[in-house]
This record gives sequence, C-alpha cells and structure tokens, in this order.
Amino acid sequence: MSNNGHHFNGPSAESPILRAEYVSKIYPDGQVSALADVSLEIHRGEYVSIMGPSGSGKSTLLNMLGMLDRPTSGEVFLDGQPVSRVRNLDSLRAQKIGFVFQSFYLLPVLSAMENVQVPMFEGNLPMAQRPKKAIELLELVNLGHRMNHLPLQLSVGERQRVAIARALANDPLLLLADEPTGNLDSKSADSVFELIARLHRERGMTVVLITHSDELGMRADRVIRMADGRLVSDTRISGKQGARSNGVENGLGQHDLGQRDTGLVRPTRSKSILPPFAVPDHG
Amino acid sequence: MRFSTFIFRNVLRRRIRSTLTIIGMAVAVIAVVVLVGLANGLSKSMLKLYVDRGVSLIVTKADAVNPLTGTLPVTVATETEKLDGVVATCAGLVEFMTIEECGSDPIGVQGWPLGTYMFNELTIISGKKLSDQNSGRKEVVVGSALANVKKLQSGQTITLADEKFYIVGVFETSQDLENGMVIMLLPDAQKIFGKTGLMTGCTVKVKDPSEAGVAAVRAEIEGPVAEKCGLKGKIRAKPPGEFVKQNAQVRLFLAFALVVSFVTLVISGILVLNTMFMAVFERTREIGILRAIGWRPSRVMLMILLESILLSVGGGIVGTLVGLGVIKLLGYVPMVSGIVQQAISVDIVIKGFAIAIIVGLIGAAYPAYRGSRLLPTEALRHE
Repeated sequence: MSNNGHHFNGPSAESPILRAEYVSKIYPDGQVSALADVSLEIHRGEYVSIMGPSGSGKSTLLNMLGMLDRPTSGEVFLDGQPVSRVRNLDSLRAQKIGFVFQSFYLLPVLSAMENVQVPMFEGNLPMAQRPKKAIELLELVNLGHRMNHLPLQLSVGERQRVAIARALANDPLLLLADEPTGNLDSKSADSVFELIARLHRERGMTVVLITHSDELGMRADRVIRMADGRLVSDTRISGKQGARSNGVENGLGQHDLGQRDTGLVRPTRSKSILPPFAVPDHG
Repeated sequence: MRFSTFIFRNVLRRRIRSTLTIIGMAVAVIAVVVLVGLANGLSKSMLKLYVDRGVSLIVTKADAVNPLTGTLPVTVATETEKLDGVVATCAGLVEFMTIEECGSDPIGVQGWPLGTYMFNELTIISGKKLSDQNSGRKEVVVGSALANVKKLQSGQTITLADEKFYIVGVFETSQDLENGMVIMLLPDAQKIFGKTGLMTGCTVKVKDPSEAGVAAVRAEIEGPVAEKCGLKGKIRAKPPGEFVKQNAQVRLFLAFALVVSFVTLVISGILVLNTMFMAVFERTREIGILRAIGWRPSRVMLMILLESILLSVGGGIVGTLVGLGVIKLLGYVPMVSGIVQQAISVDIVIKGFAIAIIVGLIGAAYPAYRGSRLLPTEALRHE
C-alpha cells in the first residue's frame, strides 16, 4: 500500500522526502482559502521551520504534509508517492510520521512509558519489545527517571518531551511539530527546541515545525514564511550544514541541556545559540 | 502495554460514572437472573414432581384457566384406574392457604388418598407417616423446608382453616416444591377446603410409557372416561411436559419475568449508550490524537466497544452475584422456596452474562461508530 517495503535509511539528496505541488485547501465553511497553490520540497535530514502570523495557513499546510487531511487540489508526495492514491492514510501516518502538538495531548490515564507505547499498537514492533523501545525513547529525551509518572505529575516541558518520544515510537521518517513550545515557558521551550535540534543532528531526523517565535524558528536550517495561505519566503540559513555535521552520536543529552539551562543564551542571536555544541569527553 | 490495560485505565478514569453504569447493568442482570431463574425454576420443579414419580398423564378440568383452581369428581380417578393401560392413579387436592401459627405466607396444602404411590417419594426424617390409625385426630406431615423456615416439628399442632392439625412427621423429598408443603389425607383436605368428593386432578401411571401408549390412554380418558362421568369435553389428560408448559401460573410468571427483564435491559442499554456517548464526546480530542498518530478508525471503535464490554461484564458479575444472593434469600420464603433450588443454574448465569454483553455492545455500537468517524483534524480542533 503506502510503503511497499521501502526503506528510508540515510539521506538521498536527489528525491525529496516530501513534495507539495500546488496544494490548495478550501474549507467549506465560508469558502476560506486556507492554502493557495503552495508548492515546496522537503529533503531528507532537513530541519525546516514554518513561520507566519495566525491564520496564515501554517497549520493547514502541516496537516497536509502530515497526511492528517487531504488537499482540495494539488498533490502531496511522500517519498515520491502521490498521497492522493493512498487509501489508508492512517497506516501511513502511523509508520512514517511523528506528530508533536502544542498541547502535548498525552493520555492522562497512562504513564509516560505507556503513552509512548500508544502509537506502537499500529506499528510493527512485537508487544514484548515495546516497553524496551519506550524506555529507550524516554532515555533519549532525558526522561529515563520519570518513566512511570503520569502526565499530571510531570512539568509541562517534560510532558512535551514525552510527546516527542511518543512521536518517535514507530521510527518515523518525519517529525512534524505544531507550535511545540507554544504552551511552554521559555526555559522549557528552549530545552524542547534543543531536543528537536538534537534529534535532527544526531539521528538525521527530518523535522518540520511551526513556531511563532522568530528566535526559535531561526534555529532551523531553513525557514519558510507564510501569509494568507501562501509561501512568502523560503530561506536557507547559512552555516547550519556545518553545525549539523558537527553532531555527535549519542553524547549530548544532559551536557547540552545543562548548557542551555544556564540562561546565557537567550535573545535573537540564533546562530550563536546553536553551534558549537560542546562535545564532551565521551566515548 | 497491552491494549486491555489501556481499556481498563479508560474505564477507571471516570470511576463514579463507570460504577453507576455497572450498577445499572447489574440491576438488569439481577432481574434476569432472579425472575427468569425463578420462572424456569417453577416449571422445572413442577415437571420434576411428576417425572420423578413416573407419572405419564395429569388429568385436570379442561376449562379451568388455572388447573389448581378447577375441580373434578374423584370418580374420574377411579374410572381411569379401571382402564387397561393404567397402572395406578392418584387423586390430589391442592390449595394454598395460611397456617395461623406461621404468619401470612401462603403455603401449599395437598391431600392424597392413603397408600398412594405419591407417598413413596417422601422420606420421613422425624416422627412417622400418615395413617388412618389416628383416633379421630386430624394429622399432617410437613415438608423439611417448611419445617426449617417456620420452626415446625412433629408433635406440634397447627391450625388450617380453623381446624387443628397434629404434625405426625416431617418428610424430605427430592421434590423441592413438596418440601415446602403440608400433606394430609384426601378426605381431610376435602373437608377443610369444602370440596367433598372432589379433587384438583389426578396423576396417572401407565403400563406403556411410550408416546403411543400414553396417547392411547389419553384418548380413553378424554373420551369414554369423561363421558362415563358426565364430563364429556371437560377433562384434559396431559403429559407432564405439556401440562407444565401450559400451566397458567408458569406462563404468567414467565411472561412477567420476561417483561420486567426486557424493560430493565432496555433501560440499562440506554444507560450504556449515554455513558459511552459521554465518553466519546469528552474524549473527542483524545480520539483525534489517536487518529493523528495513526490509529485506524477500527481500533478507535474497538476501544469504545471493549470499554463498554468491560462495564457490561462488571455489571454481569455484580448482577449475577447479587441475583444469586437474592435467590438464596428467597429460599426463606416458603411460597417460593421450592423453586429456588431449580432456579440456580449455570444456564441462567451464562444467559445473564450474555445478555449483559449484548446490551453493552448494542448500547456502545452507535457511540463507537461516531467515535471512529471523527476526523483527526476536526477532533483536534474540538475544545
């Protein structure tokens, strides 16, 4: 069906992982054109932020890119395949896309570890291996010590990190985040952004995220700005490629977050915030 | 994490609502277990009364709606006994009345002729048998269940229809109905009921208990015997199965049980419907998330149906346990104590559970369908 046994290992620069061609979305109520002829390509391993004022169509675009909704016209291609031909978007989403939402949306009755396992019901991992995978993912987001806590027992920043771990449950190709820090204080927002950047850097994760914040948005490799349902600019931030290749395998975690939490780096000097990442004396 | 864990957690998160739904479902199951159980128990106990004694036919008045209220002359029994195919008959006179010493519970009182095969089933556990050596004293034997509940023992005197009766013995039998009864000799019964020369009906044992043999005797009783007694067309001789099935009391009780059960089941179905609708509504956004992270609509549907089944099974367990408890308590009411033993059956417990689950599924079907149809984008927008 959707993935015909394709394997998406490692970047292949030639074919974009996501391609939108003249995508428009018109909502029936009021005939508002939420998206108008948007075309863009996103390649493997890219870190793209989509910015723009409220109502500019950011979320609608993300819904289309994330197969949550189908465009009124135009076509979205995931790894070269036209999404309109895919009948079951659910399994496509389950296998290929990890979502992170502004309000986390963790299930309140489940512990962090259980929440991470929720998408696995639609994944390929046998039941017995799921807890192990959940633990790995929680350790990846530095919540190894909070695995059995319920969402309400976690800080908002921790909750969003659980949500990110959940988004990674089925090893998606793409991580889509809609205002992931919109409900967070600046310190938590910073650590969540750092986590996302790290996933991008260390795991080569393709990330598309929406943000209001210029400062956070500018940390991406590429910034797309939208207004009135159209793309108004698409800028590659220079110097980021170097930063990415500077990534280390597993060694960041606490060190980076620690550095971040010092509060030394705050304002708009986004470039100075990102690299260089202190690579600790590690393995 | 297992899917079942998730289902459990979801049901537990609204404890009060889940508890109330379980109680509602339990009430319906109690109604089914108790009422249908007792109705079945009644017919089974009655059937056993005849089958265990090898009775092939029961002769009663044809036009009596309730065979226990109609009477026939005892000559019908004596004439029947003269038939070639008949081994023996036993005339019986039955009435429900109160015993002055035992409060207001109606108690079954039966009269049989001395020496009839009907007495063979009774084992005297204290005192002695009924006999005609009683020097003018009116005597009875009482069933063990009645004796237990009403604290009666041999040697005591009870008052029935203003007449004093001496309890000569306490009997026990495999017949649960009779264990709750008072048994006396037919003439005494005829006297206190004011039905001299009459009987409620008679049981008939035949030589050839095959279907054809029974049918032949039946035809003779309803034809020549009836004619001889001047009761042409007014006598019915029925095999026990048919007799019990057509018994007005059994049918009335069963109809009542079914109606009450049905109404409670409909109500509990609506309760489940409401509960599951609330669950879907208040979790709209959550369902949106599940859909967004790739859950198929069928899994959302399964989740809602399983939550409902969990509530139903909870209701089934509570309802069955309480229902069995109620039946147990009813064992202390002499009027129904006789049918209680037969009322508790695996069959009725399975039925109670099956009905609970079916009602749960029906009640959850529409909410589950609605939940599964939620579009992730719409559901996520829901506040």
